[in-house]
Amino acid sequence: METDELLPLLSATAQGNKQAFAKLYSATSPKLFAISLKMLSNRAHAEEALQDAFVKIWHNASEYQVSKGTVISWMISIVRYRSLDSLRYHKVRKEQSLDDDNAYMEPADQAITVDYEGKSKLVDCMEQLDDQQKQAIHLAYYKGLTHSELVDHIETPLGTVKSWIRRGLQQLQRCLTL
Amino acid sequence: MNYDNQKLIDMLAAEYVLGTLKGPARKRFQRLMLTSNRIREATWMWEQHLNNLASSIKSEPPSDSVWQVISQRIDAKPSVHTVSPEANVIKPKTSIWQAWSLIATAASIVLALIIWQPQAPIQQQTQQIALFKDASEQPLWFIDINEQSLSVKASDKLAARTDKDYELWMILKGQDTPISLGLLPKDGIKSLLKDNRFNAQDIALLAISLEPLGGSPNGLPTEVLYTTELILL
Repeated sequence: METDELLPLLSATAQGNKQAFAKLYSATSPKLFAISLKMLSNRAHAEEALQDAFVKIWHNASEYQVSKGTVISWMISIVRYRSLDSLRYHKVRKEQSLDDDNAYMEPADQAITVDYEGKSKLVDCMEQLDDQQKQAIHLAYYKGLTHSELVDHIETPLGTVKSWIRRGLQQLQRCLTL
Repeated sequence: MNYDNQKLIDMLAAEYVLGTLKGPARKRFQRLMLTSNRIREATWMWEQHLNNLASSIKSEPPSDSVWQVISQRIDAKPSVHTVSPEANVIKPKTSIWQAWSLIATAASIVLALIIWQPQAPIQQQTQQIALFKDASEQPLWFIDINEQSLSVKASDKLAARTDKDYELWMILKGQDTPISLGLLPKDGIKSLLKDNRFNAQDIALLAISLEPLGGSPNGLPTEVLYTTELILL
């Protein structure tokens, strides 16, 4: 799923080519759906977020430019931001995914097992972080947890959680720009 | 907050992408992205890096119905063999939050009209309006969009700076560069000529910036103070 393959599909989508859009969907939807599902832990909500994201991709395809990153990264961001909105909307509604027939729950263990596919500089830099920093960033990225939710999840004071995230990100940035 | 500080921009962008920047701070950051190249670029950089984390997530296909719904939603033209006529109606995705926000904004506007024009009935022909408020919800400018012009009324709550001007901008959907609509009145009513690209359906956001006297020196907002959405009644 390299940018080389996706860019022509996205360009054709920007011209209103629905066939290209369908191919783009086939190539990317399993990954994008998995990202949304991991965050929302609910198939129905994740499918709705995916629908919204792809409708946005259809309408905004012409907005993409290479300086925004790879096509897949641009699409992942659209899906993640839509999923974050959905997550917070449903949390406010106090919907419990356990009560939902379509619920899909991951084991509620504290740590997230992460097995990166392939190597990137980010992965190398993540490996250099303290375990706590890494865990806090993982939980925020994959599960969409806010600072205060991280406090409950890893039973650590708010100031410490904020500091893990901030210092982790600062260290990542230093490592990434080396 | 000092948004000229690159380190601060980088951290805000990182927390925005990560998702830990939330609530009003997240919305403020989204507005700043519309007007600042540095903020946009920092955000894109973090998106490109952090989205590598997604490589660890194992793909999982969604159900077939997802594509069918997407296909129906993007298909503006009726297509007998694929979708039913009902399904072809593209409904704007309005969440309950957005609906409440619109109702609340509309209520504020009605209130503002009552406060400002106690003797005048609300004009029937008004179709597009906008209201800019400050952080404490005080109305500052009310804009009534007519066929040829934008009628802008400054609130008496507005404490305008005499050494600066205030400029109105529109940001079109899918475009990063704001378009100037003219300088705003510091008191009373002023009529601005309507830009020929001013089309309610295309406008993502209206914004007001603080500018040197005479308006933006470079065609872009200097310091965005307020943003609001166009309301269709």
